[in-house]
Amino acid sequence: MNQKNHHHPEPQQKSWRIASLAGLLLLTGCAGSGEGLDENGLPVGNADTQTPERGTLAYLQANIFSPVCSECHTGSNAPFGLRLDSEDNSFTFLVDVSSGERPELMRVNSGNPDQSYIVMKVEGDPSIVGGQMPLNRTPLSAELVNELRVWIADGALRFPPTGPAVAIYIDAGNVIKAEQTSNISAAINPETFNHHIILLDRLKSVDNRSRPELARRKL
Amino acid sequence: MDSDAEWPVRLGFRRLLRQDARVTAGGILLKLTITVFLMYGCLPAHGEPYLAIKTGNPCSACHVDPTGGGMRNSYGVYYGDVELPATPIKNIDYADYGLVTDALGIGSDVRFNLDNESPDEGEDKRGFQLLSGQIYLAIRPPKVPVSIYIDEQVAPAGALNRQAFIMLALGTDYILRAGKFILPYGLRLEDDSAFIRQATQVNFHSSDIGIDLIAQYSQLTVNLFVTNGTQSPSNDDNTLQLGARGEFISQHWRLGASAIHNDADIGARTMANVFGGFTYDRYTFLLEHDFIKDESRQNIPGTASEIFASLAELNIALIKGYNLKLTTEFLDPDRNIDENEQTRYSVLLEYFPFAFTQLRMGLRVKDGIPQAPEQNTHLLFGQIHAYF
Repeated sequence: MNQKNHHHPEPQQKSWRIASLAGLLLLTGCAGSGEGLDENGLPVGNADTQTPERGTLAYLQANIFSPVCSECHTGSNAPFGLRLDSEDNSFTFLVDVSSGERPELMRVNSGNPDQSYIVMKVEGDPSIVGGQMPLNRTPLSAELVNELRVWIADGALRFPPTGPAVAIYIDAGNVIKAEQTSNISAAINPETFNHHIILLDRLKSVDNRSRPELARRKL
Repeated sequence: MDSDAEWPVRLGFRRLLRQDARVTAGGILLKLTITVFLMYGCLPAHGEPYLAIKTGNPCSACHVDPTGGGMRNSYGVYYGDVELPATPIKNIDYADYGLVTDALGIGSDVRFNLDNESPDEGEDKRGFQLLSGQIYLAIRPPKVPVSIYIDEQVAPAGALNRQAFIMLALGTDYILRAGKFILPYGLRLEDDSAFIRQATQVNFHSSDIGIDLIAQYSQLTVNLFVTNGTQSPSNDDNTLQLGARGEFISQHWRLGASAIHNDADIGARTMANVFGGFTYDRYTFLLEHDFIKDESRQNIPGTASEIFASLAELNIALIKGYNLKLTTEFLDPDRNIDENEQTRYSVLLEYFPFAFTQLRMGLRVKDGIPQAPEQNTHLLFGQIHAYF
């Protein structure tokens, strides 16, 4: 092809150019209107439409895991088997589960955001293996990363505590007594506990959203 | 594949050039053309899918990995240094820096970005990104049909192995590879964020462990592979993932199809695609359509997700060293749900000013449902890509 052809295309070339662009446009689809869907693209009737409370797994699911992470971390071929496509899966595959890239670290180390590999990955910590998450995309905002940190620091609970609380007494790893207390205003379902962390008390509010500070001990 | 016949072409190209110090560029090209023609029965080609289609060659004409991407072989290096740039390297004798010995080759890719992402709602995000730094290593002891290929990501952050496999040449037409590799599936686009690569989860960051039998005939390439299907160091159930890819390659067009089935405990996942392209004059057109049925994803309880993704790409060679790329993409994340489709349009200018260097700048526009801000963005980016 000579230089002349670049600057003065023949009619046949012009036709081809037009045909190529037309072909490209013909293959173009249209984005959905989103009618009847929630912000994750799911039918409104199928999902809990309540706005999740900040500091909960539901909030993280709605704002980080579903819209961002689950584009890749979903289904049977999720990278490193890490599925973040539902609250149940996010909890199951994150909390106190060894990371695939650095097995000595938990993906979520309950109560310890600084020792949680997922925090390192989204913050781009120098010690991570591979790239910062979300991969090849703009990093999460500082606000969202902080929400993740707060959830982990609060014990990485599956469900937010509600209602009256109980005090739990443990001996050699067995729950020997659980009684409701009158001066603590949070319900605790032992079945939702992380397997090695027990919430003993709720001492005080630490911020303007009345998030309680938790006292914990390892079994 | 004949090990004694092909390896000199792959790693001995530099030696070939040095046989005659007075060799001219035309003579080199003639030798090269004859050699590659004898190997593949067609004219030379290279790297990205559009280049392979443009020149009518398999990915293995330019890459050590027979399924494409990553380390370039000697001809791939030559093409990147001489054929692609606006100002080609003059002393071709020193083009292939990565060829340490006939049995050992190294290579690298580094990509550095400046991104500005503008969501339809909210503030812009902008910043520099060291997108990736790759180191490649190819080892092939002489006189044996076995070789080793390693693809390690060393930046950003800690090292991550993308591929590490053993290749065993079985006669003249077959290669058996075993280890960790990127699944041969559809077009091997460089852009991992493309819908067809994201939805299928087959991209440069999702290699799997298993074996792959590759048959390379003059115009037909076939892959049959079995892997764990977990994208992790070990299998998490007793089932394996099965896959196949076939591609017919002609001088001006190609057509292929792929399929993968993973009968995982948490739900079977089956996907298939057709892909291809053709070239005419300065225009090279690529197309891929993917369909995925995933029982492990149930957006509607009891109903497997059915995902549809497609890409159409038009490349226009403006003048030597410049390529204009237009793409349109479509994603239906679940055909069982209405009005959730997404589109992405891209305009990119790729410029190869001189050897080893590519500059890219472009705009990607994503459109999705209005209530999902991350689906409605404009990304303006510039990239420096150095390759050796």
